[in-house]
Amino acid sequence: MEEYSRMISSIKSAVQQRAQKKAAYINALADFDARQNAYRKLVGVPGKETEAKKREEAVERSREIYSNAKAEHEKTTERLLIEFESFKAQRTVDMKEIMVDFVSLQVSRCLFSCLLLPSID
Amino acid sequence: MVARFSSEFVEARRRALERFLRRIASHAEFIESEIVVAFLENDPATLHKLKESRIAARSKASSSSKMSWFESTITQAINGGKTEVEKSAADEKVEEINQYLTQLEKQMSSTIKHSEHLVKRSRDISQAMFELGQSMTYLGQNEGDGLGTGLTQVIGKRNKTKQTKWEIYFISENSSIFVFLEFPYLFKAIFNFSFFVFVCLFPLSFVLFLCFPLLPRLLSCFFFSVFLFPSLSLLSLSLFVRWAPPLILSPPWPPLTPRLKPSNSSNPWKNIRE
Repeated sequence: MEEYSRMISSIKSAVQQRAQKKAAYINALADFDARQNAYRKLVGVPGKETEAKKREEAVERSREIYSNAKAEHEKTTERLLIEFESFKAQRTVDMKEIMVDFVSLQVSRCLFSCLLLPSID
Repeated sequence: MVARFSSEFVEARRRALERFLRRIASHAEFIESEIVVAFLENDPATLHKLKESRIAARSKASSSSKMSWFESTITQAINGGKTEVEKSAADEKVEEINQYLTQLEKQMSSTIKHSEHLVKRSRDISQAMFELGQSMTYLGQNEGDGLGTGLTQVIGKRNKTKQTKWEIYFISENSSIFVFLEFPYLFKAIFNFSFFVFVCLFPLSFVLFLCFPLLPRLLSCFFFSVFLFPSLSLLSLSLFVRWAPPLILSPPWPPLTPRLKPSNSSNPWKNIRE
């Protein structure tokens, strides 16, 4: 049972990690959008070609960060779902084992008492 | 205080380790992990090397994550957190998982609390029973006579836990047709078989010996050696099998469950009741 609470904490930390990855992904997306908008403003403006070029490079870098964050977020989500499914499957087996142990313990205790009682007249 | 080398403790640890290894072996990712393989193969050099490389990678990742946290915070501040992503199916699933985990944690902690309470109460009852037994023993020692004998006998019966455990083991391990036996049916079967053969062979050897008294001495000796010696050896085997296990085990036999009830003639309580 205590082992189970530890497992639940592990899953919770995995969910938190996934939330962090998601936040990173959203930030990367926001950054990418912002840089793209800034770049669009400068495209076609005469005399601002150099700055536009710099912003285009920044957009490319941001795109790369964004795609990495997205891939990582998806990977984490997929992994979390797989692990959770395996946890659920394992939980069924474990609960059965715990219940069988408990019932056999109770049965053995009852047997013990039933065998002992006739000996005391 | 836990006895580190007590058989129960070692057995519990062994079971837990086996469960842990089974769980790892059933995990697709762990079973292919180099660290797990090095651990299972008991290769300390490789394990140490892998651990160090893992620690280095983790520290690098943590420093980069700190930087990414810094960058993301600044970006969020600049953008004002306006960007919103639509909820995907995975997001909904994760939300469900979160809710489920919250409920499960609550229920699990409640179950743990109650099971601990149950264990504590059982322990208290055991302690109380032990103390009651002790006090009854002292009372019996103090009283003497019939009452003293009765009290001492009650405590004696109560302390015959090994014997009762053996019976419980036997009853739970075997099917109901063997319940009437008092030790494992294999011993009982050997006893029955050897005793049966002895019962058949011993008279036969005498009959043959008496029927052919005029036969040459050599033939008589042959009959004796063929029938009597095996029958006697089987008898000794049967007796050994019948009485060796109870003698080897610490509690003295005979202790069959229905027979545990003492007869009225030797019941010290009878006099007291009367």
